[in-house]
Amino acid sequence: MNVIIAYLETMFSTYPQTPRLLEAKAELQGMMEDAYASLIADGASENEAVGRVIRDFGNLAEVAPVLGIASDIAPPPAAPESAARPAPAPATAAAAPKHPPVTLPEAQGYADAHRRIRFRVAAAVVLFVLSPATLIALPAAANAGLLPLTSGAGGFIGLLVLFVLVAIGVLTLVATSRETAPYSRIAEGRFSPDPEVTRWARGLAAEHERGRIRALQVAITLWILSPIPLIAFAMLLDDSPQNSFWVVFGVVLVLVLVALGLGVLLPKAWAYTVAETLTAGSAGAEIAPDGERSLVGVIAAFYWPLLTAIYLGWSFIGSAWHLSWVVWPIGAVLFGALAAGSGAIESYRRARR
Amino acid sequence: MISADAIRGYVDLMVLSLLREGPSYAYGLAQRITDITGDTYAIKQTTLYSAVKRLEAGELVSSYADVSPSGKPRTYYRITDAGLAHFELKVAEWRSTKSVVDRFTEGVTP
Repeated sequence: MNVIIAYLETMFSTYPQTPRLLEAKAELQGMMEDAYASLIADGASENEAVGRVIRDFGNLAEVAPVLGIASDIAPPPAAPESAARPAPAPATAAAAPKHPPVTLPEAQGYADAHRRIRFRVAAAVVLFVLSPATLIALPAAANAGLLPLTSGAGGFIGLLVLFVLVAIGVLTLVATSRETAPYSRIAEGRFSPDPEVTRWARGLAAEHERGRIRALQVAITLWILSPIPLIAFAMLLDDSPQNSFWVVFGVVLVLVLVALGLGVLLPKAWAYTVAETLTAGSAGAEIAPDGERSLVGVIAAFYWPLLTAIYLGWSFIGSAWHLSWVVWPIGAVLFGALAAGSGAIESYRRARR
Repeated sequence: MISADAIRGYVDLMVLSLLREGPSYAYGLAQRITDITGDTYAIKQTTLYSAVKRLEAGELVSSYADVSPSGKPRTYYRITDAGLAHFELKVAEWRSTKSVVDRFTEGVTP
């Protein structure tokens, strides 16, 4: 039911809040509530009922003349022009083959799949971020004499834990891909957006937006605070004999806090991501040619294996296990900058067209 | 399935006809229309809402606040005397429209 209310809010959000419009909104909401309640009473599922109610809603432009807001409601885009000049239409249609539009049940299935897998995906990302923690902490703890281990054994155990955690994360992601596989054309942007689906998706995102913003606030706070233990250990325990261990422990805490932030944010962001994907469609995907679209993906495909090779090479050859972990935090920050940079370039390019 | 364009001019007639049986609210009207037409015509909520508001603006129906069978406050609509007269006119108009169009479809199968 919340999706329906959010849908209606989105539909009316662009119009002035005159008493007449508010009355129309209230009455249409009443109709939708009644229709929803009667569908549920007839044994329809929540999803089916929402889909049917939204399908039967109609078009707000139709109500405009009786509300005296005809001029406020945007005319259907470019209808008269294409009718007046039919000749160029087939040419453009041929030049840019359109993907079939996304349907509402398809979009609902896609959103449902993302809702189901949200905790597993978040857990996998958290595992990836935490995976080097033991490798960073154990050799340092061994060196400081806190554990009855040699530094090499600590490194080995840490490496083992890293591989196990990465393996669990990858297996989790592979398992979740089974749920999203039927909707791969949506994920890959091979569809044209449909106004009804777009409105539904915006409604869905709006319904979950408060939770997402709160999670984002918590996550950002955690990320900003994450280096504080590290800085505190480095500065306050300067004269402690185990200072170097505490600094390394601080680095582990950075990872833990970053992972915690991701763990809080990712399960709350699914509706937003789904709405972004559904509203973009092939319009978003076709603007950027294939090669540019997945710039970050291409970089990532080479970046992480390369970084792992550098890390292992440096550690084994240089026997620098106590130092080489810095590859990961530096690599992660650098990758973040690369991803943000190329994302910004893409959106700038998109905005210019 | 009848297209929305084909039936647009006669949604007012349908609403007035239903209101002759007694006052009703928007969803009640939508439900009655669905009951009567079945799968032949699915009315959109905005179509029904604009028809009712158009009739109200023309003083063919009047509205008042009441409570629906499910206990929710809803706007109810009642047909006026002018509405009854308009209904008769619309029925006559439909009969002649139908007879004119029928003359062009006679003998056409199916």
